[in-house]
Amino acid sequence: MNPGLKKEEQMNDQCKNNFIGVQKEIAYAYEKVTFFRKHMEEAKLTPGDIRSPEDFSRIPPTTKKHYRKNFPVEVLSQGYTLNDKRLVRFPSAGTTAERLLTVELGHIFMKRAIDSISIYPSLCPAFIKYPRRHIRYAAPNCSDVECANPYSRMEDRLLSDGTLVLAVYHDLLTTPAQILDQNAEELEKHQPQMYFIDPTHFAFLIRYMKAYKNGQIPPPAPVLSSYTPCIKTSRRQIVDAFGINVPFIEVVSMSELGYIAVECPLGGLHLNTKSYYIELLCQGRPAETGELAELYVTTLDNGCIPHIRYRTGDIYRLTRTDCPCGHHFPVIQIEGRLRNFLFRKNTIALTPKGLDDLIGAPAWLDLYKMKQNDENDFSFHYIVNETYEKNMENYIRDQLYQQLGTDIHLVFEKTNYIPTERSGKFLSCISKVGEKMYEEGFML
Amino acid sequence: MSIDNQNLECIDTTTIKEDFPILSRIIDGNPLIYLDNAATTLKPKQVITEITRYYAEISANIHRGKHYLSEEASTDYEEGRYKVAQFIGSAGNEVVFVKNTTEALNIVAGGLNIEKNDHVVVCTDSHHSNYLPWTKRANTVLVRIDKHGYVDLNHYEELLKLGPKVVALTHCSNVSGLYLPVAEMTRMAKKVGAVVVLDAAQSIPHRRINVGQLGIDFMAFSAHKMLGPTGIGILFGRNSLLNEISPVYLGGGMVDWVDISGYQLRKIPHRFEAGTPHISGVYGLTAAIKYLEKIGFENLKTHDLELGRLLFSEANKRDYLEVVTAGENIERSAILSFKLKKGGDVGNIARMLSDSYGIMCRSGHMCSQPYVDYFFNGQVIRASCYFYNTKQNIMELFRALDELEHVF
Repeated sequence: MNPGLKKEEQMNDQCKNNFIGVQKEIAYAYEKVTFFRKHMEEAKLTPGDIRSPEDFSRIPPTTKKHYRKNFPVEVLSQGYTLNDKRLVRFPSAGTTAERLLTVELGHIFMKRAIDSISIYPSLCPAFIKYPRRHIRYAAPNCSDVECANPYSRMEDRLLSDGTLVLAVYHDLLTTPAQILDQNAEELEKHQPQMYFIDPTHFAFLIRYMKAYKNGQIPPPAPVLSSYTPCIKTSRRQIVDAFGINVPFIEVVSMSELGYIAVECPLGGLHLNTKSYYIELLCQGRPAETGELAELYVTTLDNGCIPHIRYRTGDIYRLTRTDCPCGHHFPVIQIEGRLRNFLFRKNTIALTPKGLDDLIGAPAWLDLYKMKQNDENDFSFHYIVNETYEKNMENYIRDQLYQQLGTDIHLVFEKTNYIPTERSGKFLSCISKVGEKMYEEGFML
Repeated sequence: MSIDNQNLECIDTTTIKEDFPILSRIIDGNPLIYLDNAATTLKPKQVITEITRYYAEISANIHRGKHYLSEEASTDYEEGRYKVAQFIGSAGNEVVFVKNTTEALNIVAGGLNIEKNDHVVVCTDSHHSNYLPWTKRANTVLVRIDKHGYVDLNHYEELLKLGPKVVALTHCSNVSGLYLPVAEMTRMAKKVGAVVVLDAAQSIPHRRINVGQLGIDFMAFSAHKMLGPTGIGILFGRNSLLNEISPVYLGGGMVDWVDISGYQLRKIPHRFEAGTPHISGVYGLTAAIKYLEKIGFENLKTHDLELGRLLFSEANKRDYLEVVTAGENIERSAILSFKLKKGGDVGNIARMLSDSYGIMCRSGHMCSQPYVDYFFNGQVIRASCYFYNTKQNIMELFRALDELEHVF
């Protein structure tokens, strides 16, 4: 990349370079990855056929199912074995159709992360510091270490790089006080320089500490929020606790790829177009700014498991290409996973992001979950705090009827408990219909 | 049209009938009138389909292994637990799947370290399952009932002065259909520090019970009395108390670690679910709750109270019947136990109602013998309704009784 170029030129330049990278990755995967060779042969394509982005789009997308079904024999590049000490293992938190086991060279994942984090330059030193005092606090299956087990000791959960993994419970809201007390004590001892957290988990811990630890909060440090999309009410609670001068940065990552996008100091979520060749597609064509688009990712590293035209199932909107922060990576808005979208009459009625915008971050609200059980059956459960007054939530119910139709059956209930997904992740919007539509091949 | 395609404002029994294949059954030329819902309810096709789906498409064991089907079953099973938790206003780890209400109550009675000289306050109209587990272990004291069969709250207050360790309440009598003022009785019991155990087997099919709002410590109910399959019941236990109870059964699936020197129990609720549980039962139960939610619990409650009033008022018009009366303004479920004043074997009368009229009623002591003997001095016939029953069903019952009365 030539730093003397203007931002738009930088993007074009990068696109060109990346496409050369794509061609190399295709040639590499075709030669070394059995699954991909078969995939190309089924489409009657060879690497030589891919001379332009238009040619590239002729390769049928690959999906999580391909990588799950063919792991490890047919997706591992020739020359690698699962015993290779350079490989890092990444189990996804998903269950059944969402589950996946991935391995990749550790340095490739680190490079993708560093490329992504370049979007927030002041964070880079603390991010790459070694040894470090980082905290990881996320769903048990996301912690990628068995030691997130709640019955373990602090020393069992201290990784060699200095990252402390906090103990977690599968069903977040039933976490025993003993574990939360232990988390609070360990945070105090560890005095973290940076947090890598699931925002729902962290907001829950903050609420607990405020209520039961004499108003104490975790030691403030920059927060990298990942694992699940951050709803506004969780963000409010974390930012309220740490203050606006402590960076809160949303990070999009996937267990099979690593970091994909990072929020800049001005709040723009930038896609890492350096480590990946990115496609944002709507009805099979590149999406226009503002349109809903699905993210397809192609890796460029000639690594252990190349991903080519990998259909993520994650939906975004490209919002701008000229963020005032000065970084040339394009800015996107997360709309959520397609399988979590709310549908009416086979069309998208509301995205998880649209739902969160509708709800906002009122001070009285601690947590919520929307669920679509079938075409016209919905439930909305919410947990409030001491600032809540009767009827404050009415605007949400009204809006839901407006967006989803007055003919729906909606259970709308204030509660003290909302279950976590069995994966240990807390998703604020889930949909049986969305799941079915996605599995049946619904595409934007 | 099935309920799945309806947005119901109130209960439309014609629509609902389509969901219950058994309601189309003709027995010896008589259309079925099922009035034995306090014993067990009928199952809608949505519940039957879910149970079948488990066996046809999944069939795997839960929490044992990492394969796809096992994970699918485990996820569905735990989602069933969460569904119950949200249904009763508890946390997920406070819901234990058991065989039935009886097993749930026995687990509590056996696990609370009760000694023979401890007092346990029990309702006179208790089902045996909320009476015998306590009498076996403790000094049980019965709350008196008045001449209408209703609880004597003054006597209850007196008994609380004994400092009982447990108060075992029956929310709705399976004999009289009378509802106890559980919220008030729980408040009173909590003032003396008693553990409150609620048998909700007859009430929860008809109304939402929020355990948090009520302040009770344990609650038991069965799926089969609310459209679900038999063999699956629910024990709710407050987190802190469940952690104090020792599991009755030890074995697979309820331990984290075992070696030759000992074992480490799994966290609640799993430590109470030793061995392979009734997995398909949880599928059916989940479908049943979803079905009831679609009908709406306000609608269910209204329907239950309306049919209860009709049963009682029609019975009162007939001098030849002996029933448990009730005072004004006392909530009564659509359950009526009765016998003919002039006698007649209740078993035979139940058989005649069934075979000649297609009306299915229960006869016997209703597993509540002390109460039934006290009021009726012997066995009774019981008619009990659910939301798919109509006022016409009740009138058919009384028309049949009017005919039969003449032959005795």
